[in-house]
Amino acid sequence: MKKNKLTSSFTLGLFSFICFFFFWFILSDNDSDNVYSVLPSPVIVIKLLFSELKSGELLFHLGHTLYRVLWSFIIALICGTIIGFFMGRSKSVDDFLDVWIIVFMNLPALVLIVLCYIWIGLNDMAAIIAVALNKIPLVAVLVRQGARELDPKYSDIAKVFQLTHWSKIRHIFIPQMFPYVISAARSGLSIIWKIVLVVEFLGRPNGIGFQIHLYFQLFDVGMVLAYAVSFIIIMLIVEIGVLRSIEKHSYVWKID
Amino acid sequence: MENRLIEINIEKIHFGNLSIFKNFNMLLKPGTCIGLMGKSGIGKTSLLRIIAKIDNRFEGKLIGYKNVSFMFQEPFLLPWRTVEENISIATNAKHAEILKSLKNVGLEDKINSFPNILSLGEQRRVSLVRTMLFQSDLMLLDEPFASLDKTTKVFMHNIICDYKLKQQQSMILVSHDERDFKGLTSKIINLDKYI
Repeated sequence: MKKNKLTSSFTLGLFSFICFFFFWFILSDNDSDNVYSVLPSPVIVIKLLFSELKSGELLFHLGHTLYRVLWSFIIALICGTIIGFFMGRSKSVDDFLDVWIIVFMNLPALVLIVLCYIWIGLNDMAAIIAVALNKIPLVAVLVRQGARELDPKYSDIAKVFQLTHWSKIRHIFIPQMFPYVISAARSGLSIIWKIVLVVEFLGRPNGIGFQIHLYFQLFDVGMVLAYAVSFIIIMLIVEIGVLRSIEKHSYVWKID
Repeated sequence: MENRLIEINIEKIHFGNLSIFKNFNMLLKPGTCIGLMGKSGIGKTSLLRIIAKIDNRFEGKLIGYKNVSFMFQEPFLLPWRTVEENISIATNAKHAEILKSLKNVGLEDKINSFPNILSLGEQRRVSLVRTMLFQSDLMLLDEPFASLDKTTKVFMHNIICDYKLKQQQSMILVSHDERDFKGLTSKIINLDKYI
């Protein structure tokens, strides 16, 4: 029964994916000689993707972008989780930091990026900090909610059975916070990679964002799409292959 | 385990602006069990939480014990940990010891199960094993037989009696049913008169 459900959801997903390519194909310009096509067909884009892969250009730029995404993601997740946890557990910390969270959540990403480039310089550190700063408030807000909803009965158990701090964190806090952290991680990743492309677009000499900027200036939509598709594929692999697997593994107690 | 007289002296328990329990005194000789009973909502669980030092909103003294093992009214097992992990996290007991204790309560085949697939009676038995394996000066049992069928009730009652006899454990048992104290307690205190 469960297997059937999974198969049908996979089939539907695949069907939807095929529909997307079908409509793209219908709407696109199939003339491969037209370099200035506004919407090249998926076949042309895939061909371009493979030629970039073969030349090594794609991997080079993908590597730089992934490096920035990874570091921004780690920094945002660690800082946001710590800040959110303490905000959820202490009313005074929450009152003190709440206004900062609101300010940073409403500050346009572009402002933070420009300011980081001006204050730190046109380098990777500025790019990573700018992206992380954009994401930290959102992680903090999600984790704060989780910390507020920690069940006090499990803290009673920790107290009675005299659990060590580490044991309390590992067996009581982390499992309860996990759904909030994983949700922050998933939403975070999708936002982070979008902001990383903007950061690269504005001030880096490499990365997918830089390449998109370059081909935008050359009005080469095929190459813009080829680089965008390559990155979407990577993000899908991370989402389905990594984050969902972690989530599934961590909820094994619910499935039992 | 300390071999001292346990003295519980509670002048007042604070509940916001309200105070419950006036001048509640209790002496517990080592290895004995005292039963506390009273009608529903009187504050039996609140009193146990104070004795367990989970709650400190009270005036009075708690003398003669350091560690407390507490069997809560609800099993309060960590749903994301297996039966064995639930016990080992709280008690640091080794696998063989846990397996032996689970055998005593007829749950050895559930050692690797998660609590959500156990019945309430089974969860209670796991909670009891966890409480019994934690080395303490005083054991608190909060309505351990509530909402259990008769067979499970008798089974658990016998386990607690055996444990008390073998370990000479000091205990406080709370229940609203006087029959639960039979063969276990040396004295029953009715809490109604301390309100």
